[in-house]
Amino acid sequence: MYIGIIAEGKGDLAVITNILKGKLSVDKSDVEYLQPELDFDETDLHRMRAEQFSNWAIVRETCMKKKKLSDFFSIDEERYVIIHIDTAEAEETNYEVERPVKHDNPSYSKELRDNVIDRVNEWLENQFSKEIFYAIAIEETEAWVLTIYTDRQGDTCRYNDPKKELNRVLNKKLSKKERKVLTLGNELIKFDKLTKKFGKAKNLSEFMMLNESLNFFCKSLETIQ
Amino acid sequence: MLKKVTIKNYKSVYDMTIDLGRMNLFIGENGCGKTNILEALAMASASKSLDLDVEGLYNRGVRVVKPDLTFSSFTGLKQNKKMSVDLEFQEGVEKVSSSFTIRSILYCEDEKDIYSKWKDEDRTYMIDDAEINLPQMPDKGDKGIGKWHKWLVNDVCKLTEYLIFNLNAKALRGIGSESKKTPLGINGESLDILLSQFAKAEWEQLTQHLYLISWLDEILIDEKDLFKFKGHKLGRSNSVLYFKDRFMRKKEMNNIFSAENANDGLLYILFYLALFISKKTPYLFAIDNIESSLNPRICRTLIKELSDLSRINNKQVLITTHNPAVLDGINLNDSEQRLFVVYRKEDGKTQLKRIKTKPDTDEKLKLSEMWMRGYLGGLPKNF
Repeated sequence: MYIGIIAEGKGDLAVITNILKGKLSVDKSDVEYLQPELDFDETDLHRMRAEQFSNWAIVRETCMKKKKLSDFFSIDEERYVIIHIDTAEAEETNYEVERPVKHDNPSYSKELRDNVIDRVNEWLENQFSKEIFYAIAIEETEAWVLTIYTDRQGDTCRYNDPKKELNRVLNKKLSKKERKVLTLGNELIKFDKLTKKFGKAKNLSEFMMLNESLNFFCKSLETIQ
Repeated sequence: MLKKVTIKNYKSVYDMTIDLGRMNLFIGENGCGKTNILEALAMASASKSLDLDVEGLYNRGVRVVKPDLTFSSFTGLKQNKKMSVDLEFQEGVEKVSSSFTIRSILYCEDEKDIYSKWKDEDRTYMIDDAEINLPQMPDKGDKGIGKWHKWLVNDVCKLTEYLIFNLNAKALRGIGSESKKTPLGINGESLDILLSQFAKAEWEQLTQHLYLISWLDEILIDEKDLFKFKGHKLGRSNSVLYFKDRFMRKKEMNNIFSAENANDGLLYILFYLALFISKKTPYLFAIDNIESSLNPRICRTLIKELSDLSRINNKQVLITTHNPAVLDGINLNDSEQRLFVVYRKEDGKTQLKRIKTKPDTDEKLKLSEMWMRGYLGGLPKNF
């Protein structure tokens, strides 16, 4: 089995890889990163702005073009692709996913996830449906990471700005030595270190209970097993 | 032909089975264990030649270390003090085919001593080119045993010739000759001598492939090395190979220069062609880092040509590369041409998988691009 990941950012790749380890017991060598591109040449990188190689719009473009998926699936092997997208920008032009009422709505995460999946499938023209799994992070993947570090009760989906909250919690909880990870320029290594605990099935099943969108994603992977 | 290799407990290769074709390409990150796979075969080769000492291993291209470091050594695992290589050969076609396994179980008396002589629990070995020692000699009365025995002798003989070629420009130029292996040394030694012994048919095959070097007009072998005395080289090199450049002035032989002064790429290409064409070179061998010094398009075409030559001249080869262009020279629709991605699991053990494209795929993306984009694996993932 070989799993490709299309994600918004490099940090998301690392988080999802650790989740796959914990949920499916896959080895990291069974996972490949398809998006964001890791092989832009330096000449292109010099011309590109940061948001040009990692954001939801690139995920959308990749889905719409489908070439990356069909190329990946052209190898004769049991292969799956995880498509990751955050919901934080769901209202933006071309994303345009209807956000359900959040206040007092216990189905908020489920409804929003379903709406985003519908949009992604629309981009994909409903192709590859058996091989694709959806990592829909409400509102950002940082909310999933928060499940490892938060002391507060309740679903970490409720944070409107999980990035900010994660930063706050990490600065508070990590020792001076551990905080060095926050200064790492390499997002892959940084988030791999921060989410190592997802890689153990027992830990992951506890963290899943602290974020509904993480829970939905993990549960969806059970069909692979 | 060697069909299947099972390696256990050799360096990073803890337990691995490979189903080989004729032309086998291995790709993967630096340090993933590609060369270890090639070396394990060299260990078996040395054993069946009764050549299991440091020299015997080194001359086959093994990076010799003390046995403690030769056996797999992984955190949390008790070290096994034996390594094994099982080689399954298959000969003949269809109903008259036969397969047999040649086993090597290697150990050392003193695992801490780099000079310690290796021993093989299996007592199959070549006595000479035509005779083999078998632990249990077959009953010569059995029908078909003669053919079986002949195949076995032939395959063990092929195995004993196995080498890992890892070329360097100095050896190709004839400057320094570390490897004494004949007819070709593992670093590229003695190319001129081999070419001087080429039969007409071999020259013809070689000539057909010289289009790969666009400026080359002719290869000369100056057996008495007289050009040396006319200022065509300093004489540091003992190679008597000279080349005519088609663009240079012919007057006063101003278009001739020596291997000592030739560009690296020419020498690498010639060496590989000679290796695949000659009847005197091994039938089973490995090439480590075939792409060295070669232009990407030459890599691609050279691999295609070498693949054809391997079929024509009945060679079987294992090749490692880090250059994506090499992948574009193999045809994965031909089961004799195989691509393997070598990688290390999170526990450090080397693993491998064969890459096959789906038969119904109409994708036109080149294998080189597929590799670079991550669709095949075998790339670092942490940056």
